[in-house]
Amino acid sequence: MMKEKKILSIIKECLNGNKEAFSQIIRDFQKQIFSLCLQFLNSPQDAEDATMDIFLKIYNSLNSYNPDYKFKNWIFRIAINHITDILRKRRREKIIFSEFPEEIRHNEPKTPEFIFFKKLEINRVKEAIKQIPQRYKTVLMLKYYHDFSYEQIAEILNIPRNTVASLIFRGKQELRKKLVITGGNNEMF
Amino acid sequence: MKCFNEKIYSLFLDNELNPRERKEVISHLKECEKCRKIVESLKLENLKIKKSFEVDYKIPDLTTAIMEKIATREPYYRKEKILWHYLVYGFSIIIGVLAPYFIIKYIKSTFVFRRILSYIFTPVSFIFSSVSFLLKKIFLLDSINKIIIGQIFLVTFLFINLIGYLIEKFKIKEEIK
Repeated sequence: MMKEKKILSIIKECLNGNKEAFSQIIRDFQKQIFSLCLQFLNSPQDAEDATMDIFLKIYNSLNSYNPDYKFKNWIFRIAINHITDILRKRRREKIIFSEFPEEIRHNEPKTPEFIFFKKLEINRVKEAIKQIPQRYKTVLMLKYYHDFSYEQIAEILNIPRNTVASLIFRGKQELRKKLVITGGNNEMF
Repeated sequence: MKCFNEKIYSLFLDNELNPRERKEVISHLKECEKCRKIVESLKLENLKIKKSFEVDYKIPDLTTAIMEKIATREPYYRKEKILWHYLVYGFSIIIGVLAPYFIIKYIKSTFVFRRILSYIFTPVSFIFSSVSFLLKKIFLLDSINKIIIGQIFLVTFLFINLIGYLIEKFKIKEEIK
């Protein structure tokens, strides 16, 4: 991961008209942004389009970037706002989205680690996460998948830190409720 | 020692307690097996959540595609809002609007009117357009709008100046007659 100082010098170059400098930012962050999109949008093609749009948005708003904030937090904020817009649009248009194509779904690695986690019924948790409200899903993902601190999540979502803490706590409770409904071994929760 | 509630343990695992609280939780966990079990299960829960967000999909490299889209755009120029920049322009606009009004109202002599225009407004608008131009060229600030405003000022006042001059000349001719 690039250091903030390096990122600032890249931004400066972009603002001085050197577009090529931006490619370093894309290379560094595209994986995280793409997986964020994929987790919300459930369609690789849509995730690809959204990732491209998000980077264009980032490029277009480089002049409004405030170096007091961490660059990663800032781009996650742009990404989440963009994804929220797409989801809102989908809801409005009532588009029912196909999930991952079957071949992706079942293309599971057979590593010992994977088999161990399969035992933990990860798929069941995945299903439950899909059913909880988006605001819980967002904070849980930012905290446990992207490893942001509460403070950083607060900055990304523009909400108070205490709200982040209670959203995470309530999100987990919601998740447990859904897992109880789907049945199965629930003693870990 | 009293057991903590689940929320505290959750914050503990998320590394969100202050050092003092953290120390208290650790020392409690050392002596309470029940709470250790709770923390262990919460830890496993966090791991499950993390794993459930993982997607088994080969992430494509979109760098070229995105750069192609960016290439079609105008190159970037910093659009910085500089306070003094706006203050100077605000001031010039106020003077530009109010001053001619007062001059026309209180100073009847066209000669004075023309002189004020020549000595104040024309150089002022000229300075604005040249300063904006320099800012853009040297500091890459996007001040195109301000250059245009400056030039409009310049042209307008030069035009008024010219009319003033013509009226004055016409009056002098009449006086001679």
